[in-house]
Amino acid sequence: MKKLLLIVLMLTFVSSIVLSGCGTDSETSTEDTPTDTAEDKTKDEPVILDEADKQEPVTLTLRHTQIGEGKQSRLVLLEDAVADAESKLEHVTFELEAVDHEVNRFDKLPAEMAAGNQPDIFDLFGGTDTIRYAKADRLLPLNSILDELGLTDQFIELGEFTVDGEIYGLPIGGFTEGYFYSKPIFEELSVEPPTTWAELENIATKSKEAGYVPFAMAAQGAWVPMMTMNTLVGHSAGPDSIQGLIDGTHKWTDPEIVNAFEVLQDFVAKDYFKQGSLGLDYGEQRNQLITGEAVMMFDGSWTSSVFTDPEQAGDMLGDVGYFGMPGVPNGVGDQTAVNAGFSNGYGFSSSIADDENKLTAVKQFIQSMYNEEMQKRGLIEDNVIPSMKVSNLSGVDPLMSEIIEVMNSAGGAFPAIDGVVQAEVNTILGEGIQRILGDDVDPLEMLEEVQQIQEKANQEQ
Amino acid sequence: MNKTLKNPLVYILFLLPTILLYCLFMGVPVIQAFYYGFTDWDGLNPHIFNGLENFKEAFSDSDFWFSLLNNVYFIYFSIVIQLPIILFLALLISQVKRFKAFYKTAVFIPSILSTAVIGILWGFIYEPDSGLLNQFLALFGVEKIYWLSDKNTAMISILITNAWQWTGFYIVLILAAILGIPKDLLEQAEIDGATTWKKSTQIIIPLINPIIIVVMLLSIAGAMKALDIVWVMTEGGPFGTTDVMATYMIKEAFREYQYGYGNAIAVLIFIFTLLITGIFQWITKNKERIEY
Repeated sequence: MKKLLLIVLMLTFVSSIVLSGCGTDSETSTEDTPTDTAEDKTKDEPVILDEADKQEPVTLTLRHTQIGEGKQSRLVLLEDAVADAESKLEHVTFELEAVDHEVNRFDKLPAEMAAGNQPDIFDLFGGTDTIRYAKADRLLPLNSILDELGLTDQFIELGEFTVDGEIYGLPIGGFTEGYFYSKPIFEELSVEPPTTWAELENIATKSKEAGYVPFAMAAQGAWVPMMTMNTLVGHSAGPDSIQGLIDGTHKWTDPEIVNAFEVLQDFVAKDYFKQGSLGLDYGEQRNQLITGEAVMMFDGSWTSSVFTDPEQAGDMLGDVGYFGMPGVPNGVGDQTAVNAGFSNGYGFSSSIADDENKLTAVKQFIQSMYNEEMQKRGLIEDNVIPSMKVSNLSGVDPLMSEIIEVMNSAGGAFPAIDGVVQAEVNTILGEGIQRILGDDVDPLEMLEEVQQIQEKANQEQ
Repeated sequence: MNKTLKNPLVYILFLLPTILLYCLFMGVPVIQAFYYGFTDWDGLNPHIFNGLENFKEAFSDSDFWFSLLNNVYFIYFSIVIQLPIILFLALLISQVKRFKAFYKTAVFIPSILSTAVIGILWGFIYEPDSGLLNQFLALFGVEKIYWLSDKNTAMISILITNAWQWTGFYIVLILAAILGIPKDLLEQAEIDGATTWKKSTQIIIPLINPIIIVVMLLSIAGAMKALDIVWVMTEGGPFGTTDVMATYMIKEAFREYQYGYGNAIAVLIFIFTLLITGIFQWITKNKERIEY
């Protein structure tokens, strides 16, 4: 009898745990994610939602990477766009989640994509990232939405977010890369922004003799020195060379590409970078320029907002200029070509397609985020090159004007290497560039290894 | 009531939730890792069974062996350098008459700090320009050392930080064992004229040998699964010279989207750890155990 009682007790205990677990689950889903209910309803009864259903609270997760002082202006813009979207759809809430750019791009988002639980809206890179996720059906196709919102022709360039004719992401802005420089130090050294490689070398030599670091560098993240290499390769081997590495028309071991890496090696040999740069985080790079330790810095146009913000720029406010990298000796193609593109923006989870309420919210978010006013504000407040056509460009910061001028006078553009080559090539290349900075490898030897990986990756594609 | 408690089913009942949770969060992932280790999987598209290919690739991958070597450095540093320091400090604190609790707490504090905090803290100490260490060394005319960005010093810098983090925890373990030795035993030795050195080496250390072995085992297991401290301090850099097996696994899986290969490395970490700890236990199990 006692045994029977014990068994009954045990069964009651275990089943109560299981049942209570189930009970909480369904309760939570009703309270926390009411959209699920709507989703279920839609699945069960494929009818058009009535007004009452549409007003049910909807929460969308929004992953952004606007962390730190340097991205404060961009965060304000995002928050304003979200507030605008929420005011227009009162039942919608966007839950913002801030994640470091590198963590999001290289660790968190790939893991979430693998598990299929990516946020509803997230910071996304064009090129290989978008291709990868689009082919695995993790991204929401946007062609019909853009058509519906009348935005299809409003973007300058969507190529990096387009896969097989379908658009999967919207760039928040454009970028170009070049040299930022300290105007006071240039004045002190009696030099002008260089137009030839010899002039650049001359400034570097003079800077070093005067006790400055010629080029700011913080290479803990391989993508930072890769920016310099990107333009060196584009100039030395021609604007088409980077895409040619995938097509097989160019090799990493081509003399022109090897030459580009030897330039970097030469910079290292001449101590043009700060010692110990391999242990420095990206933010340290601009600090070297702001504190007057370094004279020039190769970086993306997005950094310009730092130099126009009194709090961040300090004494260097208004004292930073910009010029494009001069052509390298024996370079192929137009030497004024720049690394430029529209590669960073927002992508949307493919799961949204099944949820009419979320889809409506996403459409509103796109409208609130991607419009002429926000693009203009991005340009003025955050110094980001607009990704959409903006009719009035007045009121632009002088530094931004210099950047736009370099872009306008460029004889062409080439893409970012890390947006073109495969992930495994990117890893080995990044490590190779860091090894050159650490004076640990011969460029040709390193590039032979990269080429092997490149060929293997091209075959597997 | 007594009869109920004698029934093994009752104990199983109480253990059941824990066992279920353990299976869910430990057993299932381990089985999954083994499964995916035999596949070619990019994390997004359907996986393809590829037999032992990932393991063959790992065995012929020089970067993987290099990262294993760094794990071996972790073990070596823990056993050969850290352990004697732990023993010395534990013996020292056990002899202290006043403020014993203060010393115990002081040495234990680093082990309750999160690894991220410790990584950042030591990042400041190792900072080349204004870091405490370089400033101290400069007093003796030592030139600037780029601790975390020079391939020759990055690994040792991490090992020192890791040792600093865990030394206190092991000291407290050993201290507990030392304080557990009957006082009359040590008093007898003193009466017989034993010096502090003799008491330590011939009485205390042999008596706490089982705890020392436990500390060594924990150190080995910790060294084999080392990850967080490396990730926080260098992310395996400069150019992969401080990569340990776990950081290499993360890079392969998440940076290069080779989830199959990453799982195979995880399996190898599991097997290597089992092997090394197994060999260590086999070596130490036949040692004479002194009872008191």
